[in-house]
Amino acid sequence: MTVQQTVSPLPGQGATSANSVNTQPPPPQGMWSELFSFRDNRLGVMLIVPSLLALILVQFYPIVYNFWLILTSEKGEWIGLANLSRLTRDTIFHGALIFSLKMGIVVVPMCLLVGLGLALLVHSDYAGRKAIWISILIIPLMVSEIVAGMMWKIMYHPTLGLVNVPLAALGLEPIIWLVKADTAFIALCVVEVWRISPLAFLLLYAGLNQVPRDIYEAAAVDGATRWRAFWDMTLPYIRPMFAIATILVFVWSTRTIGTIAATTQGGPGRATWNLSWYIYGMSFQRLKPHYASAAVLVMLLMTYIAGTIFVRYLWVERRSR
Amino acid sequence: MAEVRIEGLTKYFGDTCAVNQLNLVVRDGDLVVLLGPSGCGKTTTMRCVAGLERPTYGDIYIGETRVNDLEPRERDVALVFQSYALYPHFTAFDNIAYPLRLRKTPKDEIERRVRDVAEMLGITHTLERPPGLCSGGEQQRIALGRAIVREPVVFLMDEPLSNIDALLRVYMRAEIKRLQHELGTTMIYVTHDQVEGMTMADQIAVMNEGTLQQLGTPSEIYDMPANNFVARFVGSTPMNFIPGALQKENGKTVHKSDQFVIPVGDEMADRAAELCPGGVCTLGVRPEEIRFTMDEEGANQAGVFLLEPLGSETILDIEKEGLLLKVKDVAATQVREGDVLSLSFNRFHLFDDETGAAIR
Repeated sequence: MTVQQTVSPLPGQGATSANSVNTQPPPPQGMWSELFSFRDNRLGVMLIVPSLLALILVQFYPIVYNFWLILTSEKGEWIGLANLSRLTRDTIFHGALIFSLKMGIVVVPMCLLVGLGLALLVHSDYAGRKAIWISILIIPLMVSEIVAGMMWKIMYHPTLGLVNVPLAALGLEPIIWLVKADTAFIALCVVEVWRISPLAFLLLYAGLNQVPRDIYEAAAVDGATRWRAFWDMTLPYIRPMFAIATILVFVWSTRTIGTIAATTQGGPGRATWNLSWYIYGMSFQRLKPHYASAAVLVMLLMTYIAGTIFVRYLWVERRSR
Repeated sequence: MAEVRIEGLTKYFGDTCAVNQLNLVVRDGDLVVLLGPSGCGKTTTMRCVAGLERPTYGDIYIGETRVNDLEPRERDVALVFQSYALYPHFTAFDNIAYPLRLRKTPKDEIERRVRDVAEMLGITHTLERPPGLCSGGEQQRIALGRAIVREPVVFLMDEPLSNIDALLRVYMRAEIKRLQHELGTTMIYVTHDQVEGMTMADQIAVMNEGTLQQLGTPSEIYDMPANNFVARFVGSTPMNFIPGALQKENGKTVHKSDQFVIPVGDEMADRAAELCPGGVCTLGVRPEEIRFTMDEEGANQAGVFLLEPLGSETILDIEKEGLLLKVKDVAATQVREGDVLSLSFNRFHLFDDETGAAIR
């Protein structure tokens, strides 16, 4: 079964419109002539022109400008795809790309799991005063990236930090989280999950509220356990929200820069360089904005491809049989 | 297939008592209609049987098993919701197949049983569609199919016909009754529509304000209402009520009101003296039990102020001194608005004004 079939018009409708074509005036030619053919439309177009201009200024212009940057050298000479081919040989860039992807692979599922768990808890009957829970849980969303990073840097402090307190209580050596590559990666992932999972929570909680209660009751009477009902009713129902949450969490976690700036500064060595940090360093420290733009394009493509995949496999309704 | 026994069922929502000490036995294979106005506790009662609500007090038995502590899925009952509660992300086929899938029924058997049920209900053409693309009547039948396909021990129906149009409703209520007879499965059917109750039920349980008012066959409910609530609620043209009191006149007992003097039979008078010593009671008479002549001399005269032709019959609206009576007459009535009629009351009921109970 294809999706198309489910949205096709009911039988008879197509035929009706086909029959009546002869009696109707011809449709206007093209979008623009239609847009400007009525007074009302003209006003409408005038009204959207300012925001259209703003959009062009902040969206289209930078993208086009970015392409121009990629295709020229730092001195402004046309060099074709040289920046991109150089990127393929740049091991620092490779490291940053892999780090970003690695982070996405860890952070996205964790955020979704934590977000879903919190959403289910708050949605359940056990949580009274839902508004209070929600406002507490979304505090991380309101904290800026840099502030969150600073806060966690203190939390990870070997002697002062809260994170090491339980370890000390167990008589273990304190871990110096941010100075070793693997522990720094874990530490950053934790910060990101803390920072971003409220977003997933908020979206999934909204999704859960869309599920009609009576289908749970129907499922219960039909013989479904709670777990089965969750699997068969809740998950399919919130799948579109899940897709949106996945995309946003992925974008948030791969583009993060403030957290890194406030905690590891990319260290130890270059172990925690992600794409954003690489682009930032390349443009504003090494002052090679043209070369950095090539990395921007890669980052854009990565997000675009991931987004397309998520939409395709999560959002678009698939039939269960 | 099983008997359903409800013993002393009481359900509180906070401080509100939705069902108050309800006792009801639904015999094996019977179709019992829980009938009452909205908020009378009928749906709550049924949800308690389904296991979607926990009784505050009282016990519910299905067959010999006390089901109070069983989950809905352990009770083997099927419920058709007022909203249908179809699974919007499944096709009609999957909706009907779902209870079977949960029971790990083999695939080919699911296929066969779903097709059989769909054929029985005439919805084979909808099977590949999601419910959202089916008409109201089709959705209703999909919901029915989902209940039937499992062959449960008890069917529970929560106003299943209230969301479909009037014409289809008349058709579907016969269909449901026929299905129930064919399958022989015990059914509890909740409705606020007394016509549905009358036409479908083996037994009707009339409820009001959480308590059972009367349990009986449709004709018992119609002909011998236990109290004025049942009398008022059942009957498509409602019963007429004439407040008044019993008095002796020339050695005979009469029901005397501001408008009419109606002779009461000896037998009824004796029982009234026993059951309602004060004699203050309301007389209730169904519209078809009022006879009239166009005689301007007779007793109990009243004027017609409106005719309501219904095609198969005509309702005469009769008014006397602030009291409104509805009287049924044949379609081709000779009566015209403004005529004065002389009324006689064929069969009537007396209801004690204090308790509302019928004097019988």
